[in-house]
Amino acid sequence: MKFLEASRRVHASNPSKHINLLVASSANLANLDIYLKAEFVERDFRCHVDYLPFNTLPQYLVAPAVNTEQQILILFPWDFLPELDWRTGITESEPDFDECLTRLDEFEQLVSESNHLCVYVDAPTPPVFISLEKDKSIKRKLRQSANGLCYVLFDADVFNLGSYLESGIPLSGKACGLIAAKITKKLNLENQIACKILVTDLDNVMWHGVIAEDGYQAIQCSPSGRGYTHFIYQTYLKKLKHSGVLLAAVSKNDPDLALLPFVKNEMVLNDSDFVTIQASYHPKSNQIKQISKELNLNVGDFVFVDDNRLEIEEVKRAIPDIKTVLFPESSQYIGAFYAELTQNFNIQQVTTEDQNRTSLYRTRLAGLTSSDSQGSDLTQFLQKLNMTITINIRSHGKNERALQLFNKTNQFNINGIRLERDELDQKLISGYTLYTAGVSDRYGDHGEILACLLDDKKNIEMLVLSCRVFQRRIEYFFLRWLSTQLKPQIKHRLQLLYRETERNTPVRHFFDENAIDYSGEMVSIDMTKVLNDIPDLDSLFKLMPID
Amino acid sequence: MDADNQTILEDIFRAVFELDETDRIESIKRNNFPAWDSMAHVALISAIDDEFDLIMDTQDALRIDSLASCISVVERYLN
Repeated sequence: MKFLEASRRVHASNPSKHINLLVASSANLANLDIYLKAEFVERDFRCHVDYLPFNTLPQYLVAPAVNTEQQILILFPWDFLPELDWRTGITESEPDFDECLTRLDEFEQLVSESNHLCVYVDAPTPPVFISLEKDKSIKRKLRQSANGLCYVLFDADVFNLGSYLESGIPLSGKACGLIAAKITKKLNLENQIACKILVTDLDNVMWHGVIAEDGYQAIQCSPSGRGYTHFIYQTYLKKLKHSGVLLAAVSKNDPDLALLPFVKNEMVLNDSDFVTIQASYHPKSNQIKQISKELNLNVGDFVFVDDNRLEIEEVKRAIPDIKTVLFPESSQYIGAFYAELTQNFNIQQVTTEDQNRTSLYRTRLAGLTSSDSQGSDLTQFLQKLNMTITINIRSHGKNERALQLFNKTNQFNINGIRLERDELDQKLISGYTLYTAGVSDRYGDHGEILACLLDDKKNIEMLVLSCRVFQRRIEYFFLRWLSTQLKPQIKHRLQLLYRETERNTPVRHFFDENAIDYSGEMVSIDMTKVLNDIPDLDSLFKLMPID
Repeated sequence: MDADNQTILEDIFRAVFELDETDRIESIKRNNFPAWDSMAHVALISAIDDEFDLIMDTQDALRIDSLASCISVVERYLN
């Protein structure tokens, strides 16, 4: 991305999220600023970039900032060895070679302990050693260190010595776009942009034509002529669905007309590929809110696609948290459209649950309880579901789904902590215990929908429950089962690590009702008291033997 | 310099110095425009390098003190 394009994107956009980024470097990287902001905007983040004060990199590495959401370290050769800095000139007396190697190792150690995303610019260095062999040796050692430390390495051609000498700015203007793109890609912001459902318009998006005006026979979505881009769109949606993204459709149409092409089953997509197809003459924002309510998904997890700017604006105005993408009028913009659309979905690994997610949610809709069902009505409804729970210990493998649940669940998530694979493995090696629970009912199997990680003192460090099985008392049943298992150690009192997040309101409600000590990070729950309040728990579930 | 390249330079000036469409870029000089400080100058040169895919020599960069001088310097690189 070039400068003007970056500038336009930053000023023309209105991202829905905000993020703070600290760029830690000894150099002045002011010309990188607009490119970084533009890359973040592309990922729906307004980014505030901070830089270290001049000459404070070593201090920062000893005591890094703890309250910045994202931090990157951009290093140059002279950060390892100050003698290599062009701006200080070449020292008359030759530095001690072995001492240089020692200091280089020390700096490498310091950086490795800081645990940052680390970027290295392999800038040319002045000949500080008269001996060519020593000079080469130091440069080789530098590259080795950088290779070991850094996730992103840039060649010398991104460095501009003239600019560095004149103004202290080392990065070439024409390399800034590339540098910002690589850095933001490595920051893995996609983990924070994992939308769960794509809601699509139908006319002139799903197919070419307006079905109410042109008729079913006239709409086009086959791989030829004007239907081609719509054919591609359908194949893309099919792929998303297969990867676990839910599909829904909204249309200002008569329901029978909107459904007709799907029922005819002559397109790539058919009725069963969607969790719901809504057609009415209500505003599309209302239709989307209804889907959000029925599926119990946050509107921030929705991406809306429409070819009509007015519809996009109407939805965006009514639901500011939703992501919207304009379906292009011309095939010329198809590439950019898919690039924009794809970045909303974080698909790294596809599990069996992902592949079956649409049918699981369709199952949920079929067995949907009214959101205001309470008390005995709810108990009776749940009893009729004939739910069976399977609880598994996943401390020794088969825990991909648990990891996925920890990293994707926002609402019933007691603290919002995310885990990398190696972090989970390390915890399990050090004595943590991992449980999952799966549930099936009269409508089908929902797969594994709960994950719980206990630390070595039997405190609950992580607990998540998929939103598709809310309001079923599963969390109560699982915690009751767990407290029974741990009875000798905990005496019915469970301790959970709680942190309020922007999205975990259901957890707060759960604790409001059930916690007895709610002051610090560790929340206590007396399961005896909880179970007295829910006497019919056993009548709701059948527990399968542990796997 | 052709009109397209001049427009690019004008757009760069507007972006770097945060000017409105109505501001007269031609009247802005480095010595009469407070926003044109050393950091803004570096940002300007960096943006020109990027947009025109060049690496401007330090002496040329120092010669730029207005849109007119900028057009003159960049034109030499493009030719």
